[in-house]
Amino acid sequence: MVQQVILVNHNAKALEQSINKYRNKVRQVHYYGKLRDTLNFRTVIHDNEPHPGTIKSIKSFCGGPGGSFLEKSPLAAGGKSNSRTGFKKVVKIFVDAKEEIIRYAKMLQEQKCYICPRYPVEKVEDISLITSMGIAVDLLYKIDHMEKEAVLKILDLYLHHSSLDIPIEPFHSILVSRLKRTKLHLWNLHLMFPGGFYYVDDTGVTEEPEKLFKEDYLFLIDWKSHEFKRVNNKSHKKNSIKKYFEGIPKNHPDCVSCEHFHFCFAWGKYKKDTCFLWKAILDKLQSSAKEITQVMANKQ
Amino acid sequence: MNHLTIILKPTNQCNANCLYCSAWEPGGKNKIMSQQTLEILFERIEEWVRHSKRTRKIKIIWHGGEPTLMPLDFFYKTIDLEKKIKETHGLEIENNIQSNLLYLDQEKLDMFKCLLAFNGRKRTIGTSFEPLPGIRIIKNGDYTTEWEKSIELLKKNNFPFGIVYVVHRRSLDEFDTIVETFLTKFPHTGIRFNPLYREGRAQNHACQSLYITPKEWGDFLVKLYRIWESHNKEPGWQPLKEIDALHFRKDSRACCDLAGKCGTTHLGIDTDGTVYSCGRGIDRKYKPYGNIHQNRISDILTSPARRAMNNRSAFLENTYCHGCKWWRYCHGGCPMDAAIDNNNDIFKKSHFCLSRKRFLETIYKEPFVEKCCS
Repeated sequence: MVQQVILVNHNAKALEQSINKYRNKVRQVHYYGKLRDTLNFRTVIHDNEPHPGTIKSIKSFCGGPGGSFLEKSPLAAGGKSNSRTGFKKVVKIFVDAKEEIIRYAKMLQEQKCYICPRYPVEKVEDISLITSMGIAVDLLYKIDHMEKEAVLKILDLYLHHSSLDIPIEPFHSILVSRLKRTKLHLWNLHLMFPGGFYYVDDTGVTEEPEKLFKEDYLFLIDWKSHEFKRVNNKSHKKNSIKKYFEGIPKNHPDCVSCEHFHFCFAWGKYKKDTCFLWKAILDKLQSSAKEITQVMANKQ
Repeated sequence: MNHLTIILKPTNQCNANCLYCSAWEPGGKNKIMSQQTLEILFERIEEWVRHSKRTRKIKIIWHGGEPTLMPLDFFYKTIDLEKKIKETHGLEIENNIQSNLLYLDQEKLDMFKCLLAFNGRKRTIGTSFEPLPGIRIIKNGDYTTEWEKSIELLKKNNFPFGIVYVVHRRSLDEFDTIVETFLTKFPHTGIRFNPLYREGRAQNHACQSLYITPKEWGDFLVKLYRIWESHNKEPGWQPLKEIDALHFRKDSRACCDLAGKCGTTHLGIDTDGTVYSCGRGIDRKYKPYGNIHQNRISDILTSPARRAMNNRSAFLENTYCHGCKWWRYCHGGCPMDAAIDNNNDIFKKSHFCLSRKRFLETIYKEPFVEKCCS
């Protein structure tokens, strides 16, 4: 069973065809696109999963009867699918300006999507503006370019704001994975894990069609997008990251001795140095997970 | 941390001269753990138990050298120290021992009845046996004769024992003899079959003729499995039994070299209190975690060297072992095997990967299927 289909396409017809073609073979569909393009798919992408639980629901779970919030995290491994279509959908919209969000707020609220800001995120208000409208945020692609102080303040917002009832990713997926003790890999979140994803062109044809039915992941990519460039030599890209991985013990010995290695896998040192930032995020989420586990244990 | 296994070497001295001894150090001095080190060890354990909210079980495996060469009062002191921990913290420490039994007598056995008792039952004494002559040697007398006398003493005292057998080149040549011996002499005894690994005295030139290749080890396991299968999978021959349990019953309680989490569950403590990954880590002196004289156990458990050992499994799963369908059966194997093969680099596979694949492909064809999340 193919685990994951990632669609990044602004062509509604092609998108619908792809979904229909692989309907029986996929478990997840991610749509990544620009704001206006996404809004054109309102009729195509229906029956979206409700948002996964948030820290608020985790806390109310601790205070009240049991719930299944831990199951509903589409970005974490092993998420469930309840939709009529039979597969889980995740919609991510890249937004260039805050004004666009305000303008299309109602439609975005109906979409149940994740906003990925491409505008500068320098303070908590840059994000709380979105969450206060009931729209989820995904900072995965932004974190490595943000100041540590801003990231930690937003993390605080996610962890402690009493009325926040919308997830802020990737914090939420990381926290849930810690609580559930499931594996979660930063490279997988970025869809860059070597051999974990297959690139397929817009017609849905892979380089190796037989693999479509045997392997776990299928990746459909729009190479005109800025975020996901088409890589002509697909095996080359896979190999360069693979080589980076294999070189970690020699080139980044601190990474193999790090308690967060399982999650990060030296992402923080890949072409940049944001290790300090990820460590701060993971330390905080780890300690929150411990606290929540303690509370849950005391309640039982 | 729910449980911790400590391989404790109170001495590196030995009364035997086995050709492939992995614990032997060239030019090594005789070392014995002092009473002070023993007391500090138990102070550290108590300190850790006091502060750790999750400690459930501690197991000590006495190793060496030959641990029975230690004076009796050393072990009686241990029994007292463990009793104190039990009375204060309610934690009972489980003791096991690996011994050549050549120095066993009734007095020592009476002591073991106290030391090795756990939850009111006797724990098994681990020992080693070699049916073929000229491999396990002692200065005076015949190794097998002396060993069998001790086995009789164990049987007379109704003391259970298990056997470790090291597989080498001559084992392959005389496979039938080996198997026949085990089936007739020890039809109800658990036996662990380990391949000879090139550590200690086994690195010597004299031992090279005993080396086996990964393919040969894999083939040996296949052949052994067929015999074991024909005897209704009895007695408990490892690693066959635990791999079988994993495959057919999804029982993941495999030995440390297959479980992939020895970095979290094991420590090895040398005679001077230096802490390593395990007994094999002591033999290799591979990147110590610390020393109980200077470091608390909680600090040792969070040392960079230990973290690296913990991360080995995740590293391999995402690199050299990525996509391997047998991953759940092996988790990259023993880190010390990888260290031997790769110039002390544990972040590589060991050559026994080939052996395991050969065995698993031949016997099971495909791995067990996990239940899918729907």
